[in-house]
Amino acid sequence: MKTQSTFKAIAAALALAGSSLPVYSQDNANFTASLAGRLPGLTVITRDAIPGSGSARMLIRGIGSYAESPDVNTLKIYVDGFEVKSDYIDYISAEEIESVQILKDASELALYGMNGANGVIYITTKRGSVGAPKINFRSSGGVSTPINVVKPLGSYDYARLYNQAWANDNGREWDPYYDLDAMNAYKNGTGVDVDWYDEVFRSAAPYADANLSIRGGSELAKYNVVLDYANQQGFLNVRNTDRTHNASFAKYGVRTNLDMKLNQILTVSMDLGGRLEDRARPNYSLYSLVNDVMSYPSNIYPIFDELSTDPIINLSGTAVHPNNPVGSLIGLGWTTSRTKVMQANFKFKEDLSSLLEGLYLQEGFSFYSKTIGNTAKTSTYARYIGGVPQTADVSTYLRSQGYWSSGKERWMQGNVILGWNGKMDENVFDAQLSAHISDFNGTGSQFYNWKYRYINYAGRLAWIYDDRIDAALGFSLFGSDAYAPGHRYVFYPTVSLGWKLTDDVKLRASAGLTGATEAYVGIEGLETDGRYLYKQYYTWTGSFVTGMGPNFGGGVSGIRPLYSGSEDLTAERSLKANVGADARFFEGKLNLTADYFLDLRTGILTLDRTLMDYYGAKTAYTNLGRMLNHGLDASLVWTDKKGEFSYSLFSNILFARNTVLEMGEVGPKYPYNAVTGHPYGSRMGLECVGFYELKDFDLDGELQMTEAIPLFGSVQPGDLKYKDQDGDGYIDDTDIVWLGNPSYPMLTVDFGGQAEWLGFDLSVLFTSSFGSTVNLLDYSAWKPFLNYGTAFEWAKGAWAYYPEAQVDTRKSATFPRLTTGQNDHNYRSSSFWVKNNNYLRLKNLELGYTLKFAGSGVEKLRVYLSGQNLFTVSTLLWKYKMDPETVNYGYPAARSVCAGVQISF
Amino acid sequence: MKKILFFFFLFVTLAGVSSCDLFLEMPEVTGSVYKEDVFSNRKDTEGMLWRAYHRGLREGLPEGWAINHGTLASLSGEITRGYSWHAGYNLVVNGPSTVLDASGQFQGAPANFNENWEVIRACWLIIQNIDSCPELSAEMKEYMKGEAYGLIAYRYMGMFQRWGGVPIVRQANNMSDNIQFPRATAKETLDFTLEMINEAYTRLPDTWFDIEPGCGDKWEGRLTKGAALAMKARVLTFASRPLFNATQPYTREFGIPFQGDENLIWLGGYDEQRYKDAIAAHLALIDWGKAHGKHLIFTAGEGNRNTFEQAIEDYGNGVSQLNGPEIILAFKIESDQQVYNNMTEGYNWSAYVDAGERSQRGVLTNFVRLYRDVDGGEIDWPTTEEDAPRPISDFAANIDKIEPRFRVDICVPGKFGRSNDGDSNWNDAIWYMGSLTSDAAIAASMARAIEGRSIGVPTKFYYKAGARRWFEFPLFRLAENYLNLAEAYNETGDTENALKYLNIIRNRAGLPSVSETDKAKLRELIVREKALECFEENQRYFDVKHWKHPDIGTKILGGPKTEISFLCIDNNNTMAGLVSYWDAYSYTAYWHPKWFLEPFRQDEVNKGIIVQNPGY
Repeated sequence: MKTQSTFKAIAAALALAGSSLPVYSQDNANFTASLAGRLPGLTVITRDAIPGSGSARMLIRGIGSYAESPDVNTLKIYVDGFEVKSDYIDYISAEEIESVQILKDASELALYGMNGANGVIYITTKRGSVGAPKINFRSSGGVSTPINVVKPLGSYDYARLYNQAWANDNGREWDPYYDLDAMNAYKNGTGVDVDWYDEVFRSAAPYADANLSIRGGSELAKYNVVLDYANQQGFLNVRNTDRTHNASFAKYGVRTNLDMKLNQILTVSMDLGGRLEDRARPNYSLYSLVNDVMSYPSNIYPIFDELSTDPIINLSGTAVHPNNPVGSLIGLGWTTSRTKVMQANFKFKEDLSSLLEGLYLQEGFSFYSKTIGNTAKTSTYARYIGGVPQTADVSTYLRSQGYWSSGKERWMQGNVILGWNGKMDENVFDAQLSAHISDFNGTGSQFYNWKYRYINYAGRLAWIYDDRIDAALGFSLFGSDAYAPGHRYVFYPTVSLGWKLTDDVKLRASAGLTGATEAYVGIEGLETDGRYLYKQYYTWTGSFVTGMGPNFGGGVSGIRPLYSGSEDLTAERSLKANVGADARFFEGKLNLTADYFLDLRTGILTLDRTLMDYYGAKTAYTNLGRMLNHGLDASLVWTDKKGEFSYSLFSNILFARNTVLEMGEVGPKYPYNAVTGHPYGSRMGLECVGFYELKDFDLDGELQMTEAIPLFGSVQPGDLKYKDQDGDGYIDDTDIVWLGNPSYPMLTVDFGGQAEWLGFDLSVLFTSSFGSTVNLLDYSAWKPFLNYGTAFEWAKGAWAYYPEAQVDTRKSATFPRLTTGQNDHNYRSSSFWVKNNNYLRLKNLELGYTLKFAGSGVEKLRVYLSGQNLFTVSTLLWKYKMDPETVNYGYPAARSVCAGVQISF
Repeated sequence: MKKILFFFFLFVTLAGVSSCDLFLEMPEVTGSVYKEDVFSNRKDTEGMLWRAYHRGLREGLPEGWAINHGTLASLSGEITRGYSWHAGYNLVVNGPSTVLDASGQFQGAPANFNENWEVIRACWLIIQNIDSCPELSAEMKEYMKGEAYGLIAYRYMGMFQRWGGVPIVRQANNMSDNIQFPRATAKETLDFTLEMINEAYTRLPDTWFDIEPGCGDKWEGRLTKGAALAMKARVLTFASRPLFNATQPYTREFGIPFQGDENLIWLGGYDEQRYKDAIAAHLALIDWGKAHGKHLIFTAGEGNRNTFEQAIEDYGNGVSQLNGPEIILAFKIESDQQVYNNMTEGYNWSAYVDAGERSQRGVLTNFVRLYRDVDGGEIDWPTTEEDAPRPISDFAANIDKIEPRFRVDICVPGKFGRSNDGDSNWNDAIWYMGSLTSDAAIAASMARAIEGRSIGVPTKFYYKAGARRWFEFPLFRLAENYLNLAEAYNETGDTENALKYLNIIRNRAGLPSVSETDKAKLRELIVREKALECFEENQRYFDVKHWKHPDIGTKILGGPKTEISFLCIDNNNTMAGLVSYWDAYSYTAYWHPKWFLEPFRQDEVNKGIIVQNPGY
């Protein structure tokens, strides 16, 4: 299915060779994360540094459709011509890979039809080559350390601020919750003051990996075999024993690619790439654990209850704070999972040159499978305070929980390709017709998308004249089971042109249609991913009781339509246009590739909010959405050599800006309230103009008549003050305005270089990102004391005025007045909470030295030192202590350094 | 060459697989039901109806739609406004709003217009498809169609009361229909409601008892012909009242600018015939009831006056007895524990369970003043004008002489209530029945009410409930019809009949008859009687609006509210533990004439198809 070489000539794709991939990036061992900064047009947003975590968020040329999901990648991934889930490449070894290619414009995506709209990552694995066996061995080891950590306040500061919050919530009268004795105890260290963060996290985690590959073959048989191993430990402060387990990840990979030439006509390829992934962690969700650490106050209880006589374990705990973070590490046992993932491909290629020069036929079959099996050893622990159990839990000894599975997937694909590479005088032709059939069968956990199928008939004809002008036509006739008969097949044509102005400058242009099936947004709670909405389903819900008695739990269940089905629904459509140029300057030292792209989406599956209420179904979907995404991507490479010193510098730049043209938004009261017309995911909210001051209130504590009345609950001095945009005297939803960009960047600039000198080599990669924002309200750390939570240092800047307690921050306040509970007025999207996120990061630095051994068995030996995330420049980090890439306060981001050795025989 | 042919055929075969489209036929999907399946069996078909009952009848009740936290009784000045996070509280303080609240829910008005339509469309779906269900008898299909028409009518009746004219929907939803049409006029909405009621009436059974051999009372609680008649009587009553049945719409009267068609909010003029239609409808229901075991529980009988104890027993049973003779239709508290919790424990009703929020639903003094003594005389309650708290003996004397309905409906400190005599659960010393304080300084200042429990907390609907924590909220109870009849007769000048039906209710409640013949004064007597008889039955909120009652903004929905508070020496609810009591200002409730009708959600109006009600 992949576009062939001549076709590539007029496409914008730049392939990333496997050899230029980082061998292993310890800050995030996930392969998808290691693509960051290395492919023009691809944006990679790392999620977290938990060992064995899932795919990074990957976007090709920004976001073209709001039917995407921050949690699921909508781009498609192909390995050797067959589609795979991103799980498959998450922990694939760089050693297995020949090239990674980003297919992003219409000409490259011509054959992908309904799989093409959001772009394709195309991976080709390494194959054997004719020659003596080449053996490569590589091994490395290192440590990761948490970076950009922010910890909650200690007990004294916590209590001091809690007293303010308490007074604020109780009529602004100073009546401290923590009295002087308690405060003194916290101050002099006799009170309870547990640094949960330090108890739960350690300051370094080890990592090791190794792989071995053997390549070689003859004209008749070629082979490439790769063995791969890695082991990474997490940051949890707990040892791996029979009772406890750190978060950890290990993988065992194997790949065998074989090519056999059976006769003059027939070549057979057999590829098998599979992996075991072992994950282990304490028997408590890491996300919950991190959440507990970041929200349990320091003074709730000591870790252990000294008065408890429990024979097993004497952990503290209360009903309000039941999950003692240390208890979650040592008191609950541990759980492991083993993922088995495999792709097996068989291909037959017939060389039909006997019929027509350059004619060939190829048949392929791919079998993809994934299963996840789990085991656990669990225990529970009683929660004590002063020797008295606080909850119903009792301490138990470790107990094995047997085996269970949490997923199975099977994916069968087949394809047939009839192709012709021909040449007539000055004309070169490359033609291909293909059929691709796919049958996915997943797990039942995802309710609606556990089975789906498609058929793709595709073809293209490329023509090159005199090596100067090229043109290509392509099409896909793509059928998906997601839609009703009559709407299943969609035809997607593309056209592209190229013109070599001079030997050094080439211009390109392409335009065409592609589509997308999945729609992750707007299918609230239905999990259909946009499929099968033509069928009218019903669901059980609500119940009614008849007869003469109470019937709690025994009523007769009701039933209602799950949503409003429509047979008219079809796939989202993308019209892509691209103009670009490839140029060389300075005798080929400077290579430039630049493209302007445009992507107009129509028919985005959308919850139709404009339907009148009396339609009577809240969930009715139509293909009404439209979006426009356009921008520029460019790649610059400078290569030069001076004597023994050779070097190259490169930069990838992507600017992408989208606009929602139509998303079924109900026309708001004022144009400035509308989300439509802004980039998808824009931050909307109120404009904060400061804090309410004492003078804004009369003697009864009511707002002065001159002040607009906020409708989100009563306010008091120190609350956020919002601008009444429409001047109607009320602060409400009609005062909402556009506040800032979405959470994904508008501009990414990645740059770096390589240099070699007398056996030494150095490579550097910087990534930078601009034009995204975070909303601090998405993080509980910015809502002090909420849900019996703790507070962070920024709470110290809270507005407060209690002269009787010598508290007066009226002039210097940087945070609204504190409260112990939810505050619907302050805790709502406003310009106070939306912050820009721009950053520059030294992503990778590697220094190596290579020894060559002429004539001996060892061809070369390279030793290297490598570091990731060595430094970061970011306002978000500086002002709000948040890692700008993982954008959370949870499991820490990591910096890692490692040393390694590579030997080739 | 053979090979080539082979692969050529393979290619063609692959193409062939899809050309018949079988490969892309939707694979099996878990956990779903198709329309064809739903109407292929009785259980699922009934499930459609249960859902419609579940959603359709709970409107206006706690946990039902926009009122969510709170009750209509809080809005209409019967009980206090509740906790500050209750939707009712916000409405009492700020009045209705058209926008979503902080949590993205619509609680800006007592009802959410949007929520009606799922019920209505589902009912149409039943009506259109039930004939294809093979497991139901022809009779049962007709009954169920009747129920579906009845539920449509119930929702339209509610919408007519709240909004006036609304869009008229005559079929199940279908994406390819024209689904943008405007509000119908109030008259068209009324006529459509009556049409639906008629469709229901002709199909519904008189009783569900033993409707299928041996089913006994299994199906009790579903709509009957009586429910259809009760709907007709109520909707015609609202059509006859001054808000809609007037020489000019309320917008002109109160100077509210309105660009839209006045026929949306008004029936176009005054017509006395509307009262006559209402009278006929009420009489039809009462007659139907007589033939089918539905009647007022009245031991002494019409023309006589119940004794105090008879009144306690009759009124208590009338409002509380499950599927009792007075109940035409009740809301069956569902199997949903949350709804049950919110309705019984959480908000205003059951005082039996010591739920935290019980302490914010005491009865306002404004309402307490409506009750008379057993002989129909006024009771001298403290006022906010007084200088000092009154001794508790004054309170005891007032409670001792107050009329029976008060004693059944309200449980007060020291005297408890009469709802469950002798049941320790209902006369528990640890209950906080009124707003008590042991701080003499607070009592001395009398500055502001101790908000929440007031004079006492409601126990209505729990007469002789004993250990039963749940109850069935009466949606139609015959006492309403007697008082609405009295109202309609009075408006048509038939004083004799007006007094007859008013006095039946008074006598049943143990009060002496009245003989007032002045139309305006008699009207006020009926208004007052309706408030007491239908306390907490979601009547007053609508009644006073549609009466355009002159006191609505100053004394009923709006205006200052006062609560009684007690000084005590212990919290044991014994007379000995109480010292004194007084009345104090609590809060001022919102009113604006725009609230005669409720607003549509702004996001619905923004779609540009329907006209917002005046003033919003």
